[in-house]
Amino acid sequence: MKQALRLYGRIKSNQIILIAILGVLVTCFIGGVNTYYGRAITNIGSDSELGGVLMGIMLIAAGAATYADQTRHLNTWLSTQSASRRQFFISKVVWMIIAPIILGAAIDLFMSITIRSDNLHKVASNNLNDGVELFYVASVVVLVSTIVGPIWQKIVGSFFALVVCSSLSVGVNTISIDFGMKELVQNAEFTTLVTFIVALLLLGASYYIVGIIGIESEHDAVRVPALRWPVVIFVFISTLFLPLNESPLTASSFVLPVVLSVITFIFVFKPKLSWQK
Amino acid sequence: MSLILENISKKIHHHAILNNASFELKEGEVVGLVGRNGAGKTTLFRTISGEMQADFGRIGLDNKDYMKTIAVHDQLFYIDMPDNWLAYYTPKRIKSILSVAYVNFDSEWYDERLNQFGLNNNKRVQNYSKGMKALFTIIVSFASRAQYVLLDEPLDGLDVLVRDQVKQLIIDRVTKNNTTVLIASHNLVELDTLVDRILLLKDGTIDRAFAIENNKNIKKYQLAYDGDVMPEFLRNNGTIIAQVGHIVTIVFDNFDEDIGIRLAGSDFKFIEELPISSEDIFRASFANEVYAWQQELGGEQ
Repeated sequence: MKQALRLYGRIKSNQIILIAILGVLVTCFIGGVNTYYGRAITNIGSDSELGGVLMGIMLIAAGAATYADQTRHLNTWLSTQSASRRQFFISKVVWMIIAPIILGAAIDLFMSITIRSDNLHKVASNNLNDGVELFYVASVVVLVSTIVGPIWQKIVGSFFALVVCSSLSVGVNTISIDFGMKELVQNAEFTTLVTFIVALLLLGASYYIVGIIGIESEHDAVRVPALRWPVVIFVFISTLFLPLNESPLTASSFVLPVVLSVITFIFVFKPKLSWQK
Repeated sequence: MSLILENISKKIHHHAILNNASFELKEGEVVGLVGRNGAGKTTLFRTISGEMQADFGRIGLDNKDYMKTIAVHDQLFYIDMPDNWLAYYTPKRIKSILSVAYVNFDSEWYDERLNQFGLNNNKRVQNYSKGMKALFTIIVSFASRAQYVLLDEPLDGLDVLVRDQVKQLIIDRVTKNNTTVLIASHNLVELDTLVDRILLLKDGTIDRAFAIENNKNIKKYQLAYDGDVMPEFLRNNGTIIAQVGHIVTIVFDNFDEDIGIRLAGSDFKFIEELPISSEDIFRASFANEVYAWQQELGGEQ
């Protein structure tokens, strides 16, 4: 594990440093704008929205850097090294997800200490919530990116999955309130804990999948053969049932799910279409 | 010390690429891997190196299961050619990365070779010419000081002078470090000057392993036959490499006494045995395909 962390860290050291510099520059920009205009585009040291913003920006940059591993054939070479695929997976999570989140929180805390140290507890609490939420978002993206091969499909799939997950959490909240669990759902600590556990489960699934796929499936829409049909069904069901929160099921409700699942089917199974008789 | 492959099989998209491929590489050996285009040479390399997971079979390195013992993976060096991550970095940065990846990475030798061949240390490898890239890949491979080095078409597209340099580099490393090298190449003439033996990959398996000196049953002849029609037994027993009128150059894959007696008969005006090369053995190994192709050409004419 140590070898995987060292090697991946060394390979990505320049990009990790650039991501950190990006975080500092964003902080300087926000701080400068706040001072110059005399009002906050993002609060520093009070409600502390800075941590979440920094984490988000740095995670996007880290995600782009990780996707570049595939175009640069780095993942291929890493699988020949003295560390397993799963160990490299953990290294990527550490360097490209956990490190930016911690760095974002650290910068925010530092800024808060220098500006308004009396509010530190609230800043830390906000950072924890934002960090866990973004950790969850990243875990969804990681799972989709692990299952899906081509980069553009990873990006499209991740957006789709995030939309589905946010609709799902709204649905779960509504149902929970209907069942008289309003206090529990509105308890920040409880939701943070649940979000964190779900994120760990999603990363656990990715961790398992990484160990069973080889580079030969890198160009497949769905890299795990057993997940091909489930992915098509997932696209259909999620597009069909999620709008149910707002409107009843009608014949026209089927149009979008059918179109999306047919498109997914074509990309996943690549059926040979021929016009020859 | 040896690298042993036992019954390696690999399917890609339901298509069998490797089918019970088995062979052994011993310490200090230079071995060639040949096969037709698409025979599975690169897939074999990728499977040995761990890029791909074999569906079946075992790879043993010094009595350890190579696939399960990841700690010994720095004993084997393989990098895809021509597309690999090296292109996006400078030699200086690559050295810093490979020093972590390979415990015995020889930085001093690496720097010396870069200087010797005038490779710019601060220029990204993607800006190198094709020959420089190939040379750089060879330098990186041997600087890793891995016991086993797999090279996929290392001489492909290089001019004669660079080819000589690459060959010299390989020989130098094998002699000094006792490195084992497996080279996949279509250039059989070059391989003949470099390798101890050649493995022929056919139908997804190692069809034959041969060394030029040890092939007493493979013979190459140039002969001129009498009469209008070429004796049938030539086609049945050998692979015709060239034919101009009544003069035929032929390779016999399984030369025996019976063929010798028939060649000495009155059907032929003259016969002469020629030195055999790996290319001849390669052709002889694909006798059926060559024959079918010749028939097809004959039919068209």
